Amino acid sequence: MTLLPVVEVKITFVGLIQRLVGRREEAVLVPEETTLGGLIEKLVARYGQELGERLLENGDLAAHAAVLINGRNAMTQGGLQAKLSDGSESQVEIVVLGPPLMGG
Amino acid sequence: MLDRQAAGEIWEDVWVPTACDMCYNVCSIRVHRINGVAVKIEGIPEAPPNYGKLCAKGNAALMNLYNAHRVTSPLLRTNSQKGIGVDPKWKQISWDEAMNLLVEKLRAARLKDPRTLVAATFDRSSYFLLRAFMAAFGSPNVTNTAAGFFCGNGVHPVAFTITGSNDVHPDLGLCNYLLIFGSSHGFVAQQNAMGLAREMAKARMRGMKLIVVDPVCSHAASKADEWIPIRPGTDTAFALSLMNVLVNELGRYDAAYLKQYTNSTYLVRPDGHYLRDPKDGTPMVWDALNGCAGALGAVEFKDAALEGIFQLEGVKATPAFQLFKEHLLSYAPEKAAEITTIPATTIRRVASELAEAARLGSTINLEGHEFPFRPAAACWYRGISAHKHGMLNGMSIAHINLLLGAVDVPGGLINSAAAGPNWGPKEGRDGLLVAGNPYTNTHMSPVPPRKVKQPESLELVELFPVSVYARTMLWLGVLYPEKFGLTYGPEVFIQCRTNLMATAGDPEVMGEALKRVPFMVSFADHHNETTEFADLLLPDSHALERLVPVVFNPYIHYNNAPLPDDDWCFNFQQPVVKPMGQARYWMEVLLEAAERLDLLPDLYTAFNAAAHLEVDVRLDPSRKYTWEEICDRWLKSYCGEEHGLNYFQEHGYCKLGKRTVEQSYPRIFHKGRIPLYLEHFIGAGEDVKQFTEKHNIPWDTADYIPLTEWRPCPAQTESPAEYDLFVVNQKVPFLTLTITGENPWLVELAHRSGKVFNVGMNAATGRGKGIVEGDEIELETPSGKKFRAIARLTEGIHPECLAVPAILGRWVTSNDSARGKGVHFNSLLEYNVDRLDTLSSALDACVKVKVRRVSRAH
Repeated sequence: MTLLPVVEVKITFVGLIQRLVGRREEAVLVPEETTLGGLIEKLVARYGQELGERLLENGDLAAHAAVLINGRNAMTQGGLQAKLSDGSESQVEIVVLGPPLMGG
Repeated sequence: MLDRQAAGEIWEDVWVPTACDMCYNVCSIRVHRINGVAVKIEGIPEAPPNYGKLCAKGNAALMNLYNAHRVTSPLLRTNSQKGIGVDPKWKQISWDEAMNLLVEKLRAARLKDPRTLVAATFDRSSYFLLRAFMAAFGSPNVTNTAAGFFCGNGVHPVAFTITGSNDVHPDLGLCNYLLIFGSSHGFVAQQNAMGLAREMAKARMRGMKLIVVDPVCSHAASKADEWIPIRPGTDTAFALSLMNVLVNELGRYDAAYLKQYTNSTYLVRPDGHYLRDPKDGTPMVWDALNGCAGALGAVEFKDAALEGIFQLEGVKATPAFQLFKEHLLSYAPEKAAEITTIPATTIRRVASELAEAARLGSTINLEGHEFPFRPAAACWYRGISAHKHGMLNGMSIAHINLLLGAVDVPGGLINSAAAGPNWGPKEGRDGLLVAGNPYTNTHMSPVPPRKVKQPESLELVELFPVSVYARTMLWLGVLYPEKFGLTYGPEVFIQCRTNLMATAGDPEVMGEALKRVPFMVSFADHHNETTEFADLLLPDSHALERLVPVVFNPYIHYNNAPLPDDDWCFNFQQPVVKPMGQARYWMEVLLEAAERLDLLPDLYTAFNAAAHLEVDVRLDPSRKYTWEEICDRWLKSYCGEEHGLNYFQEHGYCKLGKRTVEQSYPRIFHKGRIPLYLEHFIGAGEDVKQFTEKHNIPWDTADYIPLTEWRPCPAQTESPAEYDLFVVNQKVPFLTLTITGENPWLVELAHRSGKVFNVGMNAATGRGKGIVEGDEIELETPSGKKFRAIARLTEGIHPECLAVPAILGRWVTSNDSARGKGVHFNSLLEYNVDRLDTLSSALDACVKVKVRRVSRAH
């Protein structure tokens, strides 16, 4: 059996989502090739469907769910297809922002 | 120092670059300071967006800064009673006491439920930080409230749908024929007011023909080539009739554009939904070349049929355009004339002129690209939005541009807001256009529609799947939580620069909602109708007293670099003078509160996300930064290492490079199609209906239709015959936000104009009612509300209308010559769900009154 290389991903939860998962930080081990979508699936399996409903909309990241992967906005790195790691430890910050204030 | 001043000594004579804040356009300015006193404001000739021009408001700003009635110290309410006209009985307290109380209340609210904190502001420069603060706190209830009641409700979701950006505007550099509906675009109003005023003037001097459709001969109409008076709330009938003439009488529309860039060729089933490929659900089109149906993408766009009726395995399938064309037949010009009072001959003439001006089939080469050239456009704003059917109204006018092939191409209607340097639309589900913006989390896209679910936010935006916000609902959610299944209410409400009592819905309703909030905090530099309800009133700094690093900017602000070759630009605000009294910038107060609540790490993380800070300048959650350090990092993130705080303090603005033709006219560079046929509305409406029926929420879903229609506002069908005049709110460019009403120069300007503090009435209508110029009159609504005013007779108002300017009739203001003068328009309105557009959340501003003379003019 081939063992897939794994990386540690440190997750920070900010906003409403903190209450949902009951913590601010957590570290998980995931296969190196894991995408953001894969990580969210894992988190949903752990914390329930409501987490997915907060983070996802129409098959993509929800408008108010901002995810930073090693400090960079996941939307600029392929959204849910963004890779979490290049082989080293990774940091993912999941922020649920309130609605945008544009318009009027 | 006083001796030196008395001796006439000048020890300081400097010009400080900063940005104006007398409206949300934040023009670049420089302020002349002598001996620590600001004495003059001017534009900066080379600085965007206004390039040296400054309107009356900007020129008068010093009179707000040095207003003797400013709030200069923290104040605590001692009167537990609240209401309109109820004296709060303020007691002056220290900042220490104020902060302790603020933090105590916030901590308690967070312990109970973080969602019980509500924050509202129209201080756009502070949006990013406020959003981060609220995210860290854990509340979704952040809003700009009153700004989302009327104006953009029928604009932003439509603009997203047709361009993927937050707003649209005519390509004033190339447009030759412009129809403006219910808007003062380019006449010191709306976004980038001074920049677009410049462009509008150039366009008119170049020979662009301007037609303004408005019940009132507004500033825009008064400068137009033609003013078309229209009965309020009927613009959609005019728009649909124009399109009927174009399609069914003249046969003039851009078929090639419709085939390539819209869903006009999608086959539609009898139930209104797309016919889909059973293999993968892709919408299907009719391949006219091969005589068979094919999946979108598998058929050359030019071969797809726009018209016809086809049978596919027993199912009737019709191209969307065929349905649209047939639908338009209901809007013959003669029928539209009855609805709008615009003569049928005018409708036909304008349609003909539009078709001619659009130069169908022509192209233009710009920077090596061949674009369709369509120098004709129709634009719209508040006059169209603020109705029960605001979404359908906006969509209808947008479709005029679509029919002419004039969306996101030279000369036509082009993308503007939130269309910064990294923006670009793309193809999404069903081949429809979606906003391909890496900053997508700065707006809520209406395409595809969002999932309808149990509201969690007090704004109930979850019930508006095709809108971009639902701010009108917030106070109805506060008043009737049980009706909408809300399990909590607000505990603390923080507001700054949003005088929602004066500018939102009926103040009686607003007041009841505010009374429901146990603890309200206002940040303000003047007392106003909203601070009257506060428990804690904190002195906010004036714009000329504060440091705010990102003010006019392309990622949130409207019409930054509106035309090709304009400069993307940032400007900022820096203190010109010391804050008066104990005034503080409200965001710095919230940062201090966040620290005391142990929220700084989360706030920094949220801010990194909300403001899209680059990795090398992001805020480290394990550190603490001064406000200046945050500002410096933020500026460098957007403008580069060499353009930090020091650079901006010296220059006041930074240009990032030119807007390219690809950014202005992206249509030919992507495949995302624009829906002429709103199939996605059907499913969204079904979802809303299913949800609201299941949860016993009375809700109107009738407007979720795929082909827009004109529908009358309640005022048009429910008002008894004696209530025969519509009241229209008329914009006054120098009296916009209520802070302008605190300015003695601007109020004096209003008095001197003779056209502001009275009510405009058509001269013939007045004669018919026995009313002469200067008579005191009484307006009465069907619900029995009465308002006294002085009549001003003019030819420049539709015979069925009265014009009530600006936000007047103020009852809390420092200005004695404004208090109680004029009619408060918003008090005329009803504010309930029945008066909302349940698609866009617009509050219907259509109201009818009866008028009687009270006394004869002196």
